[in-house]
Formats: sequence, structure tokens, C-alpha cells
Amino acid sequence: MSWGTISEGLAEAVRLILSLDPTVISITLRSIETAGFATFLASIIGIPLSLVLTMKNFPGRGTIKFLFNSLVGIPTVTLGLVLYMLLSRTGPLGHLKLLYSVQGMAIGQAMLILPISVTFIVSALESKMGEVNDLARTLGASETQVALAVLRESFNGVSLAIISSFNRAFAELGIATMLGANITDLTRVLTTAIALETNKGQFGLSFALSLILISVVLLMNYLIRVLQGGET
Amino acid sequence: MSIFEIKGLVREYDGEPALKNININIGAQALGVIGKSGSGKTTLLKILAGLLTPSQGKLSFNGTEVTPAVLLDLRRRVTMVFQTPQFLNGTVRTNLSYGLRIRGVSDEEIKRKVSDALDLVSLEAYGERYARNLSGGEQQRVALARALILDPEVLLLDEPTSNLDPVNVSLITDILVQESEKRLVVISTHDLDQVKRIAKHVIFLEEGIITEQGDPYKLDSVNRFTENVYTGISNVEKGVSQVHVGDIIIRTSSPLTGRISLHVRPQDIIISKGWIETSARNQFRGLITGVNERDGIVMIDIDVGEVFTVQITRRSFNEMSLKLGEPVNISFKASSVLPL
Amino acid sequence: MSGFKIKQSTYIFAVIFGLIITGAAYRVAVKPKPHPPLIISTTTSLYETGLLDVLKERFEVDYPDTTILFVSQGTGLAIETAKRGDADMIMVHSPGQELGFMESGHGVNRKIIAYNFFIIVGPESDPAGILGMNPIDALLKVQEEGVNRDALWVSRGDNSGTHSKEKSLWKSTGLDLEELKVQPGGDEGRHWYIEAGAGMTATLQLANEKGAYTLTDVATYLKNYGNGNIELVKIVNSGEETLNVYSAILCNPKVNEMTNYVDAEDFLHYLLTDDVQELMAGYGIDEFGSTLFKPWMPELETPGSEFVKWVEEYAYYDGNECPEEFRYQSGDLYG
Repeated sequence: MSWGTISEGLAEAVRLILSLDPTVISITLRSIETAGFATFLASIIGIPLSLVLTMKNFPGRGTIKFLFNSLVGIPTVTLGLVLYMLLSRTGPLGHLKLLYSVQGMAIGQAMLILPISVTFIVSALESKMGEVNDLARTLGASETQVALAVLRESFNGVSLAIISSFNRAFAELGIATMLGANITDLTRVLTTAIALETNKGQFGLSFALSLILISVVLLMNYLIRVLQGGET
Repeated sequence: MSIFEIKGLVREYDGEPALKNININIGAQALGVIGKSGSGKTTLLKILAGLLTPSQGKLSFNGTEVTPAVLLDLRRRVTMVFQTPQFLNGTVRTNLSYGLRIRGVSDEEIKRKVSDALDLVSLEAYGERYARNLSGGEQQRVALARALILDPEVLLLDEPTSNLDPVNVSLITDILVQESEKRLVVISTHDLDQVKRIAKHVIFLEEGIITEQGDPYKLDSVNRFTENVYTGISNVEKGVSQVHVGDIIIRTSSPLTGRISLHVRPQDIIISKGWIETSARNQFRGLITGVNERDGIVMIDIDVGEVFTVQITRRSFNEMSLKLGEPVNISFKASSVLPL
Repeated sequence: MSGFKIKQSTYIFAVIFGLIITGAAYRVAVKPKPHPPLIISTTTSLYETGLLDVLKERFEVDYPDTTILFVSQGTGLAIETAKRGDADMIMVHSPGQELGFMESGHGVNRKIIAYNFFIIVGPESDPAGILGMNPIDALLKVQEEGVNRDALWVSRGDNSGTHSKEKSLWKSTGLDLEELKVQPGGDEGRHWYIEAGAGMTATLQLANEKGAYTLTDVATYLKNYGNGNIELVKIVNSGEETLNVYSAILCNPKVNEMTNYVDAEDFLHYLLTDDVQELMAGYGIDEFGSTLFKPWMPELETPGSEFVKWVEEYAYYDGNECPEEFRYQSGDLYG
């Protein structure tokens, strides 16, 4: 492998992207959709869950927070393996027919990023709780209203959490592989495609897809920067 | 009928009691709560506000016992203004209208009330200003307006003017005097003059117990409790009065002679690491013998022969890295010395 | 809620992001799931030739109600997937493991589809001097030169079909593979027998880097050579010992009621038709510069030929490509 091969690969990458190669586009869209759905699921579960964890005191609260905290770093293959066992056609949840589908992948990714979402959102809420809690309550807010007020005040932190979760789902490989099996036109996403093409020695395509993946991640990180800058 | 009835109230934090066995009936007269920092004033107010629940004992509001079920109702009729103002992210208007919005008041009426509230605290043009960018005095006035706009039956204030300049102190105190005619005002403060002006009845908290209560003009503790009260013999020479208190001499601008009592407000005293050249007529050096913090304010006791309590912000405290036992200088103007 | 303040641009970005997410959610949630597909579990080396995708396209044209999904993994994993009921049939190239699959009751109706040969590739300089030898002698020589620090060998080491073949070759040399693995050779403190634990392309690249010999299938080799990824050359070509036989086995419908047996059966028959067998014969010229597969059905027309004998020797069980007890409603599959 020489520098020549690398530059060839990069040139191929640029060509594929600029020519709007339909395969590349469909794979990219699928990546975004799957991670997007996963983020959606993780958010609608994660935000209320985080609110409860922050605002209500109940036995075992600390343990649950600790659990979520620890699960942040779970290896994607491990989670993928566990889910595969569950969703396999002969497994307990096989009848859901989620294996080898983007829906299944999205659900798996949602589980992957839920700990991250919860941990970050709880952190964001807690940092604003102190200020807002007593204030909202003394102005007559009910529990729900206080929760909403805390949520509003934590908007930046919560958005940050959600975007970070999206990034994690978008760039993960283990779950997409185990639950999707990288099937052409069905479950192939950027990460699995990159792995496949690299394995096949198709470095040009591999580079192209990697470039796209990195670009999306960079864009998301830029969003995060903007949000942090807007913090007041 | 009393507005608040408190029986056997105890409130603990981590096993340490902040309030031990409080018994009192609070009627419609404005009430002052005085006592050193850490004596339980804030805790008591928060309990009256429905923000904290008692560890033991009973609280009744207008004859009804306060249970978790009625807490929300209590909080809608009782509003508290905190020592350090907190704001929602947004304009002054946003903050003022919050309480009304959650009560479902119409937009039109909100607009009207916001306007009235701003007039009340002399901040007419401030509606669209960003609340967190205002000065300390302006912020506290907005906080006060934010409470009054809700027309609460009870207004609680926790040292509302401790860190403000005299102009704002005066403005706010005037407003509170007026408000005390319309609703029950309960105010905790270190400011002697303020408590005499506003409150008809005063309770003195010492380490979680009420040790004295009554008419503010008549109580010893009103004079005694406050930090920095000294008694000595005053000589006046060439218009400057020197008061010999123990081993030190305090210079005042008062013309009184003979045996007098003096008070210096903690926030009027400046700390420095070493001797400074200053126009202040009083400067002493001593060791830090006590540090007490509450709500972002640090009260430092310094023994210069007599113990002076000085109030600074936590930020200043951190920046100066002050420690117990450290030798420091204190200084204050002759005009800051108030005769009692 | 009005008037609560966040920076304008932040708000816009957040809204756009939110729209993307919800739009994505909608599309994914509403996407119609495919008709029960035909899931075929296969090996990476077979899948990556691209032949299977071509077959899929044609099949779906002729049978418009079906959708084929290929799950491409290492042989061991492919068989596991099928055993777990997550595939409806397998296409692999490892007779030993295939028998095990049928014996466990999971596989029925095995048919051989095509064959080709593994080759041994190595550095152009041929340090062990094995060019043109037959596979067994070549391996023996590599071992000799290996302990002399003159040659290196890379193995896939991943239980794939290729790896199984490699192991059986070493067995035929009479040497004990476990012993060979720990013999010193190559660089200081290393061995001459290197286990890659990886796919074919990665293994080839490793061999390329190290100037070592390795066993590979023709297609992967041609692809990587053509790409300029490796500079290894063919050292030992076809021989009986390096025979590589591809078969398809259906998953037993009695084991798992969700198995799509009907479509699998159709596809199996499809693979054996003249048209498809012809397609396989010609496949690969464009992309690889040479054909990759020899279809099996035409060979059966000359039953006495050398190739037929080799295949029967290597990939039949007791003279049968699929023993009676592993057949299920096989109709005219076995003549």
C-alpha cells in the first residue's frame, strides 16, 4: 500500500460524491434515517425519564442513575449480540420480525444511545434545577409546570444531549451489523458499507463513504458548538 | 384568626436541626425575622412559603393544616423573594408574566399587569431588557415586582436588600412599607432601620429557637443581635468623635459624647490583606476567627481587639483566598458608624 | 411560554435538526416491511464475487413476488445463523461443516452447485521455491523453509471454508498443525505460521506485507491483484487437493415454522437450471479477467471425468451428495 493508493482512493471518493452516485446517496440517507429514528425513540423515552430522575426522589434513584451512567460505554457488539439473541426468529421476540430490518436496527440503536441521552439530559437538568426549582414553585407552579420550566431552561443542554446521541447512533457499527447484516438496499448503512468495502479492498468507495460519515459528524459537532456558544 | 399557626416546628438537614421547636402565631401585622446568619431564618421562611416541609410539628395556614395535598395551594397564595435573585432565561417581561401565565391569566390582562408592576418598582422602560443583565438593584426590584404581580396574600422576603446600595435599599423599603398595608409581609433582615420601618412585630432567632419577640423599637435583641454593636465612651475633638471601646478606638461622625452604643453594618467594612492608604478613618488589623457562608454571602469574623463581622461575596472570598487564622486588615468610614 | 430566550440561530438549527429527526422517524416507521423474504446465509468469499447479487436480480425478475436477502458472514457464522432459524437456506463451501449441519437436523436437500480451486499465492521471488509443485509437496517445503527462517505462511484462522480447506491440506501432509503453529521462524521471537483471524482480503494483505504464502480463493485474489492492493502471484494452481466445492442446503422446515421453505426450494431448483449454470460458467471475465466458477451440472454429463471423481472424493458422503436421511420431499432433485 503506497501513498499512491491513498490518493487514488481519495480521488475516487471525491468523484463518487460529486457525481451523486445513487448507491452512495441511498446508503447515506438510510444511515441518517435509522439514526434519526433511534434518536427520536431515545428522546421520547429519555426526556420524561430524565425529568423523573431529576425531580422526584425515590428509593433506588441513585442506583438507576449509576446504571445508566455505566451503560454509556457498552460495546456495541455486545449489545448487538444480546439483541440478536432476542430478535432471532427462534428467539423470544422473533415473532416481531425485526431482524434484518432498519426498524430493528433503529430500535437497537435507540437502546444503545438511551443511557447517553439520559445521563447527559439529567446532567443538564440538574445544573438548572437549583435556580429554577424554588423560583418556579414559589411563583405557584405545579410539579408538571416546574418540570417544564426546568426543561425550558435546560434547552441548550438537552439539545446537546440529543445531538450527541444522534452522533453515537450514526457512527456505530456493532448493532447495524448484528441486527441488519448489511443487506444491499435494505439494511446497508454507512458504517456497515465502509466495513464491507474495506474488507473487499474497494478503498475508493470506502474512503468516499468515510468522508461522508465524517462530514455529517462534523456538521453535528458544529451544531453542538453553536449551542454551547448560545449558552447564557 | 392568625394567618399562620406554627406548633412544635422542627426542621433538620442531615440530622442537624436548623429549627428546633418553633411555636408562634403570625397575624396580619408585618413581621420581621432577625438573627445571625445560620440561625434558621431562611429555613423558616421557606417553610412558610411551602418550599420546605417540617421534619416535625405542624403548620397551619388560615386555619387549615398544611399537608402535601394543599402545598400547591399554599404556594399560589404565598410568594417568596430570595436573597440572591434568580431569573428565568429571558426578558424582564418573561419573568414577570411567568406566574400569571401558569395561572391561566389572559394575555391582555398580563400586559396590563406587567406594566403596572414595572411602574411600581420604577422600572417602566425595562420590559424588554434581558433580566440576567441588569444590575443587582434592578434585579431585586424585578424580583419584587415578579412576586407582587401575583397579588399574594403573603409576601416573604429573605434579606432582600443585604447586598444593595442605599438608593435601592431605600426604594425597596418604601415599597414594602406600602405593601405591608395590603398583605402580610414577613421579612428577614440584618438592617435595623429597615426592620423598624416595616415590621410591627419582630422575632429573634438564635440557633433555631425564638429567644425574643415583640415590638421592634423595644427589644434589646434588635439592638443586641446584630453583629458589630459596640458600647464605649465618646470624646469629640475638633468635630471628630472618638469612641473608646475596649482596647480600640472607633472614629465616628456623630456629635454625641459620653456613653454610647454604635453599630457598623457588615457590608460597610472592607477587608484587605495589608495596611492600605485610605480616606477611611477606621483601620484595624486582626486575625480571622470565624467564617460563615450562606447563599453566596460570606460573613467573616475578625478579632482586632473587638470582633467585627464583615460581609463579602463568595467570589471575593475565593479571589482573596482568605483562611481562618489569617491576619487581615479591616477599614470603614467614620460615616458608616451608626449610633444606636 | 412565549418570549423565553435562546439565541436566534440556535433556535433555527434546533428546529431544522428536529425536523430531520421527525422526518426520519416517520419514514422509518412507515416503511412497508418486505414480503416474507428468502433469507440466504452465505460466506463472504462467495458473496463478494458479486455472483449472488446477479442471481438475485434475475430470480426476482422471474419470480416477482419474492425478495432475496443475502446475509454474508464467515462459514461458521453462516451455519450458526441458519441453525438459529434466521436463514432459509445456506450456500457455503465446506463439506465437513455441511455434513454437521445436516446431521444436527437443521439442513435438508443438499445440492452441489459449482466448484473451483483454491490457489496458493506468494511473493514473486518464491523464497521457498515451490512454484508449480503440487499443493501437498508445496506445503511440506514451506514448513521446511519456515523453520529455516526463509519462508512465511499466513492462515485465515477464522473457521471459514477457506480455513477448513487449509486445515485439511495440512492434515494430508501428515504434519501436526498444532505443532507447526508454535514452531519458531520468521522475525525474532515469532513463528513462521501466522494466524490472521480475518477475512480473505485482510489475510491477503497481511501476506503481501510480510512476503508470505497463503491459501486463497481465485476471485478474492484476482480482485485484490487487479486493484493493485497486492503483488503476490499464483504459485500453486489447481489440483485435487485444492478443490473448492460450493453447495446449497435448505433449512429444515420442520425445525422452524417461520422458515420460508417454498421460496428456498424454488431458488435451489433455479440454481440448477441450464441458464443459470451457463451464467455461472461465464461469470467474472469482465470484472476479474477470468472466469471464477465451474458449474457442476454439466460435469455430471461426463460422470467418468477426473473432476467428477475429485468432487465425489472430496464433497460426497459415502458416494452421495445428500444421504437419504437428509432428504425432505426431494422429488426429482436426486434423479
